[in-house]
Amino acid sequence: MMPTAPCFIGNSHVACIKDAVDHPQSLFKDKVTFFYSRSKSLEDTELNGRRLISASAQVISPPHIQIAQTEVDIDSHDLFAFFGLRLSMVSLCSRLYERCRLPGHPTDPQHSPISRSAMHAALEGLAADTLAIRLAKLVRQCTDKPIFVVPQPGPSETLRRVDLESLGPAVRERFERAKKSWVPIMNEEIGGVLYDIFVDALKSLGAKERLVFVDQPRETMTAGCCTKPEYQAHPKDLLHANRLYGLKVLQELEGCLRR
Amino acid sequence: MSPYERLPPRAFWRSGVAEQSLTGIADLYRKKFAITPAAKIAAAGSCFAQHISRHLRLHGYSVMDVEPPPPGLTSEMARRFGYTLYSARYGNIYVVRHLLQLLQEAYGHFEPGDWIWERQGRYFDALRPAVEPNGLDSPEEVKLHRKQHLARVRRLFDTAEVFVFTFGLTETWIHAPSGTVYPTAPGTVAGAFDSNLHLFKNFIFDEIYSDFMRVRQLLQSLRPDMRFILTVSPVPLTATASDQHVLSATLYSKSVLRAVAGQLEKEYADIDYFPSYELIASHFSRGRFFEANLRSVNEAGIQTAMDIFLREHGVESAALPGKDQNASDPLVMDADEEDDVVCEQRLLESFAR
Repeated sequence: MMPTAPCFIGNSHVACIKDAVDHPQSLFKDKVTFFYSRSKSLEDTELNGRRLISASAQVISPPHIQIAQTEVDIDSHDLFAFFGLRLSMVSLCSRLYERCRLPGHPTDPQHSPISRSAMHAALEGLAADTLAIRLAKLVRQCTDKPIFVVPQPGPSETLRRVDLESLGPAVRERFERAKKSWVPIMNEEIGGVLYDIFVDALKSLGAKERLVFVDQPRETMTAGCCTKPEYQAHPKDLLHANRLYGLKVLQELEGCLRR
Repeated sequence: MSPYERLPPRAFWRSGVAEQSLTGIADLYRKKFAITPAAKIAAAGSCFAQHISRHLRLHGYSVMDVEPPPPGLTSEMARRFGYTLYSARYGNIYVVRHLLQLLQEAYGHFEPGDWIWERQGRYFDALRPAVEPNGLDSPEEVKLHRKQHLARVRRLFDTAEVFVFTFGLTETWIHAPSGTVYPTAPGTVAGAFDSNLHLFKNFIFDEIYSDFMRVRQLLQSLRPDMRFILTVSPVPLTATASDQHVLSATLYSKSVLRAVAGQLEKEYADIDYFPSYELIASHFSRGRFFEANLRSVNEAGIQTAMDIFLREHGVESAALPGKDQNASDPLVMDADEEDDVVCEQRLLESFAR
């Protein structure tokens, strides 16, 4: 099924998709409606009849015209894809890893051992509570059309060695916290194992909620489940991805549609 | 003059039981000691004890949980993995010998035998086989989990001030060479039954009484002020291996447990007995506190029992909304939770062109 009117919904992680969607060979060129804002702003999103509405969302309709409306009509689109919206492997796994450890991973007395199956169930629960899945379920309530969910990319590998002092004060604190909670799992030994469980958990969740999970393209990832630096948006933006990354994700999405 | 002449209504079947409404029996339970909401409570026992723990938590009592679920598990999944049911993740403890062995093991006085069971390449802790429904990857992982569990059990009983325990069964299966008591028969959840190794055991009054006395002694050696509240589970046996009819086996088992609880309560000022068993399983309830299978206790039965307990302890059952620890943990803020200026800029770069 080739979409004629897809609707892409996301927070700042949809920006790389916007950059990539106009690629001449893209299935989505000149077709996509974007419904976007910061996650915090999209928290108020609700269904009004068969329209998805948020007081603070912004909407761009093809051919990329910003429109005044803050809503999209579900029936006018034939595919929905959710990008980012707090669905993040490192974010969810690091919450668990503050308290639990899989056997064989470095531990200290405050950590409890956790089995792979409990980890899988916990990640499924955490993912279900993200804005991405909540909004996807909202849309699913009133349509049987395909719904895809694309997690936000892992942080850039650069985060492991970034000099926090080089960052501006507006983001330094955030990166300090990110580094503290994320870096312990951003390595081959731990990140790879957690990523596999994360993917399995999202696939289970997707099967239950009739959502298709689109994996981060493997070639964009390091063995430790970071995003390779060549895909980061800017030298000092370690969380967002660039157009090149967006193209890879769209290829994955197109691959799903062709299957 | 008859010695019954001046007795209160509770002493007579007609006024004490037959004429009571199904919402509860007046004066059925008189507490032996007060429990404040701040008192640290440890809870364990057969499955009926789960309801007691849950209701105490809901009404503001400090039921401890030394092995809380990881964030993200739904309350249903948490229970499936043995979290939030009791004060630690020990699963159901049906017989007092099992409780005694758990405590002895935690404090280094007992080593269980044949306690790692296998099923289709997965490995289970035979002493709490249901807490990992899919088993674990290796025997080493089972050992790691048990080591941590025992450390948490020590933390629990080093701290708890009141121990609520529900007697469940007298029947069990034992690993003969080591005397290890299993909560399920080998071969049921995992493992394999071997009639040369695994023996059926139906504990008698003296054994149960003696085991509980050793439990009390051990716990009071850690905390001399430890107090106990005992109940007997009204849930019948699923099956008996005693060669009796399952109804007779159930009544026998519950009668022995009720007798032991009564004896302990009579002898010791620090042991109280709460008669939820009588309330739910006796003539009074006319079977209405059981589900259609005549085995599972329904919510009305649990609520009626807990209302009586809470009222006697000065808590109106609807008055003190406590924290339901079965509810999912609120998610902690993390580094990705806030959308900051970087995110705003990234959106502007792509969409404001």
